[in-house]
Amino acid sequence: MNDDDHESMLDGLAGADLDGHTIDELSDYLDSGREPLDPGIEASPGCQLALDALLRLRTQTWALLKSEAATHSEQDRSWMHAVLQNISLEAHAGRDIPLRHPDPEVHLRITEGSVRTLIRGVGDSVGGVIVGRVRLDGDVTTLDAPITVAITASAAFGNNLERLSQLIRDRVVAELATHTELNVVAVDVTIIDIHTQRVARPEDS
Amino acid sequence: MKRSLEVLPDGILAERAADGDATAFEVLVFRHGSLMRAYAVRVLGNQSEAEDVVQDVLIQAWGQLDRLNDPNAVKSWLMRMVSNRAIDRIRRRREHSEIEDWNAPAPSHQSPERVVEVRMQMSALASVLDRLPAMQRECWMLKETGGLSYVEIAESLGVPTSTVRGQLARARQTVLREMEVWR
Amino acid sequence: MDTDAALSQQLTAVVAATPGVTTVYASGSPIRAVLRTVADAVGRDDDEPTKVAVGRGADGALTIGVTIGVTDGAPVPATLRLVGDAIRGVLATSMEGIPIHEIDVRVCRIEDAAPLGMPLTGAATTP
Repeated sequence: MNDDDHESMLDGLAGADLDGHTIDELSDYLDSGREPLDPGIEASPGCQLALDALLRLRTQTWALLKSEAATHSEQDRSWMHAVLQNISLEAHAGRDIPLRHPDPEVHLRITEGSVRTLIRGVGDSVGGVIVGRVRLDGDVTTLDAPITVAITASAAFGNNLERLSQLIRDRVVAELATHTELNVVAVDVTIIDIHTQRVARPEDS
Repeated sequence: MKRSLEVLPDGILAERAADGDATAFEVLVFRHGSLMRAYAVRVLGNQSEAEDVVQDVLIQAWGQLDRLNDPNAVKSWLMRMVSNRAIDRIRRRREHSEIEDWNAPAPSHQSPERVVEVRMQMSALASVLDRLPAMQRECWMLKETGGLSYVEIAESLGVPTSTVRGQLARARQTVLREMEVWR
Repeated sequence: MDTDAALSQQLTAVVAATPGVTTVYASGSPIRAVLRTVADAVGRDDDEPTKVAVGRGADGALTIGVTIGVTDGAPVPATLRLVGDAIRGVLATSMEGIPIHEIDVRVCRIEDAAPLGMPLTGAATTP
């Protein structure tokens, strides 16, 4: 097929070959997920060809981007490191948690964010567990205020969720006792078995 | 024992990053950053602006992850942020330029750092997209890859929806013809 | 060099050298820098030696503030107290007789003493 044939075919696309439809219309049709189904479009061979072509272009564009991403990924590391150097550590610092000191002028504090990270690390150390979110409920900014730690986690298939919950609970209590002076009155653990989606909540144990 | 986070799915990483886990965020950056950049390059037409946009998006994202409703959708959330920022740039560019010739073909020196593509098929599409006039290429990428609607693109660029439709129609015609998909 | 700048430098060195301290952060919130210049410079504030904040009240009383990262290899309260003591030590010799209004030590990061898998990034480690 030479260029002239291509041109005339494209010209024809707007007309009889697409049975009265336009490429623009067909693109919208694709976007709507071919719903509601248009029997006229579906029955038209020209339209089907065009729809296939449009879909293929979309797929190819994605593939092109992915390929360019892969080719460029080594070079990307340097600006990615710049991003990581520049993310604000204050963004998730949260509240300040005080510690005691005999001298009244000396104020010692730990950020809530760093304590959450501590708890996350402890939870992760229990085999088969990945910690999701960590919350400290209660007034952490006041010494001795009662605090509840709430943790959600995922566990690998087949684990005894109640046993894992208890392990996490024990380790978190120990870790917080070592590194903070928080008055932890409860550690609520919600574990989801990622395979069966069975959930063990605090009240189960 | 600290488990390697690289094997974790996006949803868990996003949750942890939303809580302040910088390591989880790092994994997300390495996992999605290159694609974000490749997309931004094609929307904006140059590499340095693309990198600026993606860096800005990621730094912002770190602080906003806790507002993400569905942690599993973090990838599309990030890509959407790239679209939004890229569009802002394009609109500001347009506001500053005096003569607006939306149909001018792309300058031939547009992608000097282009890496040689191995696969001929993708190379054909790459060069077709590179040669599209700027606005056509922008609309094409934002709509076809970014998934933005005609209305969203039009409103963000400050042009009529019919203009966006027109640009896309021409882009489609060109790409379809040059990709010789009818063979 | 300005006395307070010299004091800050001294305090920064002493805090960084305290057992258990992994990082001394520049005072105030780490704000996003201009990205391209930072990317070129590689790292943030690595060479800045005056990270401890030194302030003086109307009465000349000192306010000292520092934000640090510590290891979880030692109890964090113990490390914090060592830092407080170290700061007091410096003030007792360098600023003898000057009243102290406040010494504020804040931990914003507790680092894993024995990380495996992906290395932690993002924190500038002091020499």
